[in-house]
Amino acid sequence: METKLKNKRLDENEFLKMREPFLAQWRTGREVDLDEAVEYQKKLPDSKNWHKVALKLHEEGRTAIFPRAGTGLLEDQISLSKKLVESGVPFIPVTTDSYTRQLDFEKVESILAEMRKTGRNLLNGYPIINYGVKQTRKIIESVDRGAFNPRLSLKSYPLATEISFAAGMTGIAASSFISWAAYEKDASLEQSMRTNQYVHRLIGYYADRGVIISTDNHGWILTGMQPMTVNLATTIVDALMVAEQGGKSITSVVHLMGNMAQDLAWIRVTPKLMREYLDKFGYKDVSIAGVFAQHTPLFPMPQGMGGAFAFPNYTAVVAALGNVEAVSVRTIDEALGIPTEESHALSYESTNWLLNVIRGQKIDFKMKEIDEEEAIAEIEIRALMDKILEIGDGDVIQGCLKGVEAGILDSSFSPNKQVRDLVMGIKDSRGAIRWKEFGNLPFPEEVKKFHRKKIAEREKAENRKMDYDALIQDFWAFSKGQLVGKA
Amino acid sequence: MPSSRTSGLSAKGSSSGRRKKGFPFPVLGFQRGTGNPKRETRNGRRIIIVAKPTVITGTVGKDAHVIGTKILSRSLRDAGFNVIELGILTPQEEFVKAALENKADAILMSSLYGMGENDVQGFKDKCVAAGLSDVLLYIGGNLGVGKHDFKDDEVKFKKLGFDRVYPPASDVKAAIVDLWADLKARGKV
Repeated sequence: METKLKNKRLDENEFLKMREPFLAQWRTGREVDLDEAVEYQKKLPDSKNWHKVALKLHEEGRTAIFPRAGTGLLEDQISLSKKLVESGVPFIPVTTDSYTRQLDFEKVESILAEMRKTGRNLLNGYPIINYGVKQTRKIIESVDRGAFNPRLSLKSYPLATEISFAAGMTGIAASSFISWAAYEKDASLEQSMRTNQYVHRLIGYYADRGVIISTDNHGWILTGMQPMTVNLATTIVDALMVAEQGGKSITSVVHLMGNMAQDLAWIRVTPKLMREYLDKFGYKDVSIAGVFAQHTPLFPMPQGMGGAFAFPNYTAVVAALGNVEAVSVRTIDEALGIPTEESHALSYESTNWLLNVIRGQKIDFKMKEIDEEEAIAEIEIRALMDKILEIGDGDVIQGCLKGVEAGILDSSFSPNKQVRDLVMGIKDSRGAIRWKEFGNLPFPEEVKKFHRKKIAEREKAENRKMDYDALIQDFWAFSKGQLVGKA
Repeated sequence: MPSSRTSGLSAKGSSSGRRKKGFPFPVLGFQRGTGNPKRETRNGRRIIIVAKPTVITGTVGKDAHVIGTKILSRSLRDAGFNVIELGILTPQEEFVKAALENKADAILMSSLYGMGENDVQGFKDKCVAAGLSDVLLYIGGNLGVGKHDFKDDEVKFKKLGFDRVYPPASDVKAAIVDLWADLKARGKV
């Protein structure tokens, strides 16, 4: 019988035993030799270590781009990585394909054979497990700089991270909440947390031997529209879980919603509170290497070219004013499907232009609305964290499991059956997201009053109720080049 | 990254007149069943009893897009329907099973990722085989890959057995009015 899951460091021998069934999932699992992998990682230059690259960007006051890209054949992945490095991208993604994500390695074998025979591209990402450690090292060795980070599914997470780290990748998304909240219907949070804990322990194993692998913590990804505080509190939960297993570097991810004051407030308040909670639990040697911003996709309709350029550029402007170390932007092809190499290049050329020009001016951006939003977000995040810790008797994992059940952690429009979905968000007159329905969120009355007041202002200005219809109109606003939805 | 592009239907416009907000039909009380609305006097008040049709919603196939089906489900519920919500990643068999178990009057599918045509092959036959030939079939969303004409989708999906086909960004309230009219024409309400 499995024991009650707690945020407690796994014993090393126990962890090493846990590895065996994962490594046996496919023959390339045998290529992973942890001692040899540690030595390989130690020989990598600083420009290939995610943690060090993020710290350097911070020192230099620059904002870089972290794109999303992956392609089926090794040689194409090498060519893509080279192109990204040449265009000045320091963080290189390796997005895996859908079959790898489902652990269907036999299928990948046959598709790879077919691709080699016909020259057609039949995979939507890089099948990292089929290629294994030795082959994947060729990608990392094909460039003289660039910190690599694979994008994986929960199912493939244990074996794919073993292979990624052994191959020299130094960054990894680590969150128990991503797949669970946004892509799955029946998955359980507890299972997701167990799997994450295992990978965090692997990161801790490397850290114990002097190799720093940074985790970008995404928290509870939202599929709908609501203030980001549940998401941001759960990025702190992710950080506490990574730190307990021995991880030493956190990359704090902040998802943007479109209102500049609110987005900048979230960018400022999150690392501050993350630091505070890490310290509170004694993880003082865990560093927050950088803050990464990315836009939550709110953009339902295929856009014209003007809008297609405006959207990533607007994201870049907010990221630059937020002084973050990196930003994930979408390409101008986003609405059409998988972007071409040209579309990648053109999109990043445009956003890089803005990032360089704005960051160079060293702007200390002040707005009283940012301070106001920051104060509200801080109260909300603290209320969530404190309630989680209270109901978990000090254990953050138990607190989250109970919190989800009680709707203390909640989101609207989640596909997962475990999520209560008792909350609802709506925009105010300035396009900031407000809580329309609070469900069981443990917020103090002053916060609720603030949100109600802002919604009432918009209701008065537009002379209509902010109801479900208005929410749906808000969904469409950005794709129509509007700040808020129109009746 | 999850996309929150809206599949299927969206609500816009508003209900009119003295009708209860969100309802496409005049209603004071509900009674599960079929047949035309009945007028009754209860506690000295005249009420109209209308049927409360049962509908099944969900995103079909390997598609994880959630927003369209969630909006549709809530709007249907607000409009007085009994809604069985199957959510994302729903195989054909689950739609059939839910329709049988709940004596459904209609199935409303969403599909956004463009591969819906593949996901609904043979669905009508399965419905007929299960004795559900009388159940209305609706589908809405982004029903093909890349740029294409919605009219082609409509022809294609009607051939596959769907009674109504909706493009992305359709008005959910108009669709509910369509549904009510279709149910009425079949004597179900």
